[in-house]
Amino acid sequence: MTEFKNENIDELLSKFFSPDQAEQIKDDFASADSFFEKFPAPNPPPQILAEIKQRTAQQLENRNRISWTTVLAKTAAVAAIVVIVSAVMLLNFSQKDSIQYTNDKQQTSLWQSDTDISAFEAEITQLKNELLAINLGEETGTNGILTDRVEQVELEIIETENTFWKG
Amino acid sequence: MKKQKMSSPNDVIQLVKLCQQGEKEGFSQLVDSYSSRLYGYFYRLTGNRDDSNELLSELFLKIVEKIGTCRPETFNAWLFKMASNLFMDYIRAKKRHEKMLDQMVKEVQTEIQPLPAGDYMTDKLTRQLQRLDAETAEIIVMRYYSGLSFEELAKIRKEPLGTCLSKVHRGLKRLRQLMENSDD
Repeated sequence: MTEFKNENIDELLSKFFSPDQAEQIKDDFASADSFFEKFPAPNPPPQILAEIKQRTAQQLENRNRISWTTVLAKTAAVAAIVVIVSAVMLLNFSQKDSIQYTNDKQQTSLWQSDTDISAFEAEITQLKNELLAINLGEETGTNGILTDRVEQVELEIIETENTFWKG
Repeated sequence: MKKQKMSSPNDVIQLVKLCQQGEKEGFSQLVDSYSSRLYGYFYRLTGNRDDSNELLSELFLKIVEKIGTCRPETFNAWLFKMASNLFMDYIRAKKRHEKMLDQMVKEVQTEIQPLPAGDYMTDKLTRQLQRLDAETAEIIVMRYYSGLSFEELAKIRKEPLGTCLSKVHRGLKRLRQLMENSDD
C-alpha cells in the first residue's frame, strides 16, 4: 500500500507509533498489498463503459440545452416582469389623473352651488329683517299701505323659499 | 488488480478543466482513466458486479453534474469522496432492503447468498473484506484504489491523521488474520 502514494510512510508512522509498532504496521501494509495483487478485482465490462460514455455525453447535451433554455426562460421572465410593472405604473398614473379631474369638477360645482345658496340666504335675511322692522312698528304710516307691504314681503319670502328648495 | 496507470497531477488538472468546459472528449478520457480503479473500489466493497456496474454509472453521471464544483488540484480526493458517499448510500439502502425482507419473509433470507458462485471462487479478498465493518473496509479499499495519501484520506473523512492511520492499521491487521485463517 505504499508504492504509489506521494508520502514518506516511515516518517509518517514515526510520528504516531513506536519503532516496533511502525515496523509491524509496515509489515501489515505489505501483506495487504500482496493480497490485493494476488486477488485482483475484475475490470468493468466494456459494454458498461460504452454505456457510461453514451449516458454522460447525453447528460452533457441535456445540460447544455437546459442551460440555454434556462437563459431564455430567465430573460423572458425578466421581460415579462418589466412589462407588468410598467403597465401597473401607467395604470396607476392615469387613474390618479382621472381622480384629480373628477375632484376638480366636484369642487367647481360645489362652489357654484355655494354661491347660489349664499345669495338666497342673503335675500331671506334681508326680508326677515324687513319683516321684523315692520312688526316692531318701525315703519309707521297708514295701516293699509303697511299691511300691503307686509303681505308683499311675506309673499316674497314664500316665493324665495320655494325657489330655494327647488334648486 | 491491474491498476490503471496513474496520470500525472498536471494531466489530471488539464483533464478536469476540459471536463469543466463541457467537452465530451474530456469525460470519455475520464472514464478511460478512472473506471478500473473506481470499479475495483466498488467491487471490493459490494462484492457484487451488478451493483458495482450500477454504482460506477451513477458516479460518472454525478461527476458530469457536479464537475463545476471541483477544484482540479484536488480532483482525486473529490472523486473518491463522492464514490464513498455513493457507497454509504448503497449500504443504507441495502440495510433498509434487508430489514424489509426480514420482516416480510424470514425464511427467504436464509436462501440469499451474498455472492454469486463465480465470485465466490475468484474473490476471497472481497469476501474477507466484507467481514470487516463497512467503515474499516471502506477506508482500506479507498486507500488502495484512490492513491490518496493518509493526510488526504484523513481530510476526506474529517478525522485526525493519527485516528485515520490507526483505523487502517487495525483493519489491515484484522484482514490479514482473516485471510490467513480462511479455508478458501
